[in-house]
Amino acid sequence: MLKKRFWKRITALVTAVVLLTVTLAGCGTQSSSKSDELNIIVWSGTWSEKMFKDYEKETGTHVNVTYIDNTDTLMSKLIQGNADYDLIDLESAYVQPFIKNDLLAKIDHKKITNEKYIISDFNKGAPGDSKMQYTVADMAPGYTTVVYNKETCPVKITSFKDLANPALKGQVAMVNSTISLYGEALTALGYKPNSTNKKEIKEANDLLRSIKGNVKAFVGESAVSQLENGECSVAFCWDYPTLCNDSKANWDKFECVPLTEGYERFQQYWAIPKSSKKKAEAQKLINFILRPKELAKTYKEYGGTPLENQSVMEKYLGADYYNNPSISLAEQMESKSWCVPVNDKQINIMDTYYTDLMGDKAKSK
Amino acid sequence: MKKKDMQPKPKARRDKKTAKARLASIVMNGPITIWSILFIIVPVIILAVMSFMSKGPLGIVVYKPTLENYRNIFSSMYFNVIKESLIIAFWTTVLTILIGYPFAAIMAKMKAKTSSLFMILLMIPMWVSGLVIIYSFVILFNQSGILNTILMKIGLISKPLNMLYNHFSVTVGMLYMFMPFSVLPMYSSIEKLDPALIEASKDLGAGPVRTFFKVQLPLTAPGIFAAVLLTFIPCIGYYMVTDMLGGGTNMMIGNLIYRQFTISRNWPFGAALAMVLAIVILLMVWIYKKVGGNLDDLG
Repeated sequence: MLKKRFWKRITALVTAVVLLTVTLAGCGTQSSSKSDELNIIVWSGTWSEKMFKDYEKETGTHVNVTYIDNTDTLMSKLIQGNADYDLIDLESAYVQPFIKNDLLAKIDHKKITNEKYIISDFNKGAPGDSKMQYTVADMAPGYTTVVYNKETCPVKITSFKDLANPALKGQVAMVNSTISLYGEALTALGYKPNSTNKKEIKEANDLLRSIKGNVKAFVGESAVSQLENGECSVAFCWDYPTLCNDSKANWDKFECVPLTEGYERFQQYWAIPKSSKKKAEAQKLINFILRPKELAKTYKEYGGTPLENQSVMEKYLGADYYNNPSISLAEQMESKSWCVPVNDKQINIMDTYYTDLMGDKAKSK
Repeated sequence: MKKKDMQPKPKARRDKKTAKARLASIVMNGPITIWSILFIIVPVIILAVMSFMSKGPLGIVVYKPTLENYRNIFSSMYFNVIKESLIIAFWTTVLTILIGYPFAAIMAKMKAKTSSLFMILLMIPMWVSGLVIIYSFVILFNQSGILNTILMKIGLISKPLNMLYNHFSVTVGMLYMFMPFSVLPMYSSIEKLDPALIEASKDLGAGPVRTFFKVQLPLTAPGIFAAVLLTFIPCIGYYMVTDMLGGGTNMMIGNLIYRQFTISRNWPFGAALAMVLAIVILLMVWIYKKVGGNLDDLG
């Protein structure tokens, strides 16, 4: 009898311990990477997995890739999660706050010899890091602007304000990023996109409210499906390159409008977290990725404007690749673009107005 | 020694039984208790504590107590968002009950085999990811989607119908997602109804309408109330349908909470909103119990 009771107790204990172990295995911090591996964070759907595998074959260093869909996840992992990463794919708007909060390590550009292939217009530092002490460009810049269907859009659009034209009722798709929306509305009204002046932001909110009457859908990531399936004839989005990569038929069907008042520019950068103990290895990986042959693997898989000069990339991508209209447009759009770093005060004000804008049912469709 | 002396005394035997029962209870309930403490109670406590804290740079939670988060919730714009969520949840509940009750009643009258088949069909949406279901509606309803293409091919319409990003698509999406939550408790209640009571009502001269309102409806009311609760509660925080099928032109409380934990990086305010939502839900469950509802019926 005693033996039976003993085994029952042991069973209960083992069950509890196993359950706890299994449960807690998924918690806690990202474990410290071993000497022959690198932990990196990149955006999903942007980098060729084959490229990382080839790096592993060449160097023997295993690359653990964590995929994210937004910078908020990256921040949660780095700040709230105290995770141990060696290389991150950082959005331009977040470079300044990351540096200010002492989260990034300086980069030794002498070790990144393949940086010489980057197109000079694309090799500009993000706000807060104009000398690129903490970052290396990893993708060509993108722009948040208006894209319209040439066959169905009923009006000519040159400014963000034109989206309030009643002829566009129920035809507009729009990103729901507060910085993109309020930054563009402020610019269209002649103010700075990073204004924290409540009166100016209120005016921008009024403009957005008048445009909201025409909006059919606010989108989080992409307005491609709304444009392609004909639900919307106009979109304020960052999707022109994606549309052009999707189908050659879209090259003639859609046009990108460089708005007269300017537009948001965003770019991705490689950065090394200060907590990383493998700065040299991370720099080695950056240099590997910047080899034209390696970079071409990503463009072949996902498309996009090549970061590096045509003279070195054409060999791997082919001359036809450069017929894509979004590639030539990217270089033309540099001049009027703006980029604002993320600012807590600005986000607080804009977010309050955004809630007011989206909670206002009367003015919606 | 007498045989009688060797037998354990009745009290000792009882104690042994109690100890055995206690041990069995620990074995059976221990793991789930640990699980619940770790993944329900502790997170709720963390959320409650966080809701009284402040937001720091880059969204870091600063452990400086404040009531500001709760004060902000009662400003008109956040109140509008909560109101909008409650209105959508209300109408979804009303519609699912109105459509679900006859459906449940018909199912209850079917043969066991047929009703099982319908039950499986009804459960399918619960087995598939909500995101997949919503995307399938986007494919079905969009201007160049399956439905418009078929209608145009057979000549019923000359230009595509506007079926996406409006009240129609939101209503269809919400009904599809929440119908199982509504039908199942009502079905269980109607199925348990003694047919003799309906017969008695008819024998006493009541027509079908009178029998329904005076006998069937009151007797199946607990099932309806459970359905109301099971539909209304998840509906309040559910924003995927309004976002993806409605175009996201209006904010729901679910969106608002999500934004606080992502774009706005204001975790304390997000926690306060989540706590208010949790309190509203608990209040509804409490009312349900007070008016005689059985918590077991809620699953």
